[in-house]
Amino acid sequence: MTDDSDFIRNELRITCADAVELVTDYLDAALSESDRDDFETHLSLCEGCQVFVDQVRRTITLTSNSRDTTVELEPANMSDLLAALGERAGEHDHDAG
Amino acid sequence: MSPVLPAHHTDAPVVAALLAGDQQAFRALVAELNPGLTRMARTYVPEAIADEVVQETWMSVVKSIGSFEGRSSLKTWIYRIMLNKVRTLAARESKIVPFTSLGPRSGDDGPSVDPDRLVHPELGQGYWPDAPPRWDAQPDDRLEAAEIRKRIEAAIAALPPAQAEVVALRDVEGWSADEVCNALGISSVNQRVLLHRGRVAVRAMLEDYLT
Repeated sequence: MTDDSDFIRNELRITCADAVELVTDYLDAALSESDRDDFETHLSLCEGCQVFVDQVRRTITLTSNSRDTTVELEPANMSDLLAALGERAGEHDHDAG
Repeated sequence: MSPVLPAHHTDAPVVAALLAGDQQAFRALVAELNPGLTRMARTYVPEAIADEVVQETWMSVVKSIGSFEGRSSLKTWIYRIMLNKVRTLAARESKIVPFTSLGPRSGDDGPSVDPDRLVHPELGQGYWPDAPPRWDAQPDDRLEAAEIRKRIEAAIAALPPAQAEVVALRDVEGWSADEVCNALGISSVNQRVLLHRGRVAVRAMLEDYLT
């Protein structure tokens, strides 16, 4: 729940609508010093935006956890690739020599 | 040593090993990058085609490693080879089978939160009236975790391609912002805008599911 009196007393320079657009820039440390101050002041007073930032962080974690780890370490054409690697090195030696 | 690669480049040793035909070095590089390349390719085209694209990518790497000039990392260079192949293929496929356009697109240029939800009774437009519900519960069983995984994959696949690419590299593969800009040839501002749009679309899907 947002505390109305704090909002009014502290003359917040940014709204919640502004703050939610800055979350990725904030997490990437890409905000200017003054924008970061405005964002952090807003966040310190606004539970709604605290929850939103927490949800974006959880989204990032859940997205990272969604990575499919069952994909193959080796492509199916590995033997062809190794043969081509050998041929290429042979040509290279030939060029060098 | 590659005639075009500066000796001090971070990847100079592995490039030299590949040029010398070192199988162990090649296998190590493949083991490191193949899973990520495969996942990324599968965001553009069906699995079987994606796996072929990755195989062709490795063949191109073997054949053209001598022309790697070291203007980016070797990893970025290899991803670019894959992206060039898979984007061309996806564009061609989409004329026949609309794989990437199945279902509605999300994550276009709208605001991160529906403006109708940001109307405070006294502060007015632009402020939360109440905090949104917290997502306190962690997915508590394997079934739910698997369901969330499936839904996130689908949410990323439904993003506009430019957003899907950035989300896949940053949040799925865990790349740095610089690496992503380099591989995709985009500015850091553009990278963050695409990432934010994609993330908030995935957040919105999770909000519907988790609350």
